[in-house]
Amino acid sequence: MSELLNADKEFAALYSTYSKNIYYLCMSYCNDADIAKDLLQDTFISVWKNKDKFRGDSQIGTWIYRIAVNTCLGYIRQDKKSKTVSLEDHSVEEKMDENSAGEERAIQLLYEAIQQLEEADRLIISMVLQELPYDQIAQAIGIREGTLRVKIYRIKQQLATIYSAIENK
Amino acid sequence: MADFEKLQSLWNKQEPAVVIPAIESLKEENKTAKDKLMQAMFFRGTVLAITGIVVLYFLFSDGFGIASTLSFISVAGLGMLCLLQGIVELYAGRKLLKIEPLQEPTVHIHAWENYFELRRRMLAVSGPVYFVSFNLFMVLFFLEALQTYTIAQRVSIFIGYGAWVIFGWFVVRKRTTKKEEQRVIATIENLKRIQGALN
Repeated sequence: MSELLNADKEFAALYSTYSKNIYYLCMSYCNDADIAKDLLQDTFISVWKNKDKFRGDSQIGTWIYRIAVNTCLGYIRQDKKSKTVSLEDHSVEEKMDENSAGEERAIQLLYEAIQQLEEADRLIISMVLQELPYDQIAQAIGIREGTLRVKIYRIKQQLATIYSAIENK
Repeated sequence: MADFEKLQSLWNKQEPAVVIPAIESLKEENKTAKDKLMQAMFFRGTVLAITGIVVLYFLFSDGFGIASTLSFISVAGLGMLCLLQGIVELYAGRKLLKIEPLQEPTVHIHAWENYFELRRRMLAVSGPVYFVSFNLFMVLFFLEALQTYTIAQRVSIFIGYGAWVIFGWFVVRKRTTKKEEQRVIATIENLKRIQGALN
C-alpha cells in the first residue's frame, strides 16, 4: 500500500515537472491545442503503465521524452480527424482578432512555422527550444549525437527562414 | 532572416494554450488511443471467431437439422468465414500489441508500418475475398432454401440480391474502403518518410 502511495506521489511529481514541456512538444508536432492535450494524456498514461520498465539507463526525463516522441509519431496513424494545419486554415488575421497581443501572435507564428517542418524535425526543434541537452535529445529520438547536431543546424536555419517568410507575408 | 535566438526567446515567453489536465483526469482516462483501438480489434476478432466456432460446432454435432449437402456447405462456409475473419482481426490486434511506447522511434515507426501494411492487405485481399465468399455461400443457401418457390419468384429474389451485392460492391465499398485504402497507403508513405528522416 505504501509502495503504491509512493508510486502515486512520484508520478505526480513527474507530471508536474514535465507535463508543460511535453505539452509544448506535442503542440509543436500538431499545432492543435486539443490534440496536443490528448497526446499529453496518452504520453503520461503510457509513462504510468510502463513505470516498472524504467531501468535507469537514461535520465527519467529522457525516458519520458522518448515515450512522448513515439506517442506523437504514432498519433496520426489512429487519427480519423487528422488535419494539416496550413497558413490558410489558421490565418494570422483571424488570430489577430482573437488575441491582439503581438507576443501571442508571434508565438502563434512560431508554431505555424514549426508546423511546416517535417514531422521528426518538429519534435527535434521543440526539444532544442526547450534547451534539452543534445545527448538527451539524441537518446529520445534514437539517433547519434553527431547526426543530430548536423540535423539541428539545418532545422534551425530552415525554421528561421520559414518564420521570416510568414512574418513578412 | 529571423535569427534563432529571437525564436528561442519567443518560445520561452509562451504559456500553454489550454489548461494542462489535472493528474486525476489521467486516472479516469486510463487507456491510450492505441489501447482503445487494440481493444476494439480484439473484441471484434473474438466475437467473430467465437461465432464461427459455435456455428461449426453445432453444424458438425447435430447439423442444425440440415439435410441437404448444399445448405450444409453454405452454413459451414459462413461459419468458416467468420472464424477466419476473426483470426485475421486478432492477428492485426497482435501487431498493434507489439507497438510499444518505449521502442527506439525508428523501431516504433517500423512497427506501425508493419501494422498498416497488414491493414492494406486486409483491405485489398481479405476484404474482397470475404465479400465474394460470403455472397457465394449465401447464393448456395438460397438455391436450397428457395426450391419450393416458382421460377419467377426465384429469379426476382436473385435479381434483388444481385442488385444489392452490386450496390454494396460498387457504391458502399467504393465510398468507405477506397477512402480508407488511400488513407492507409498515404500513412505508409508518410511512415517511410519519417523513417528516412530519422536515419
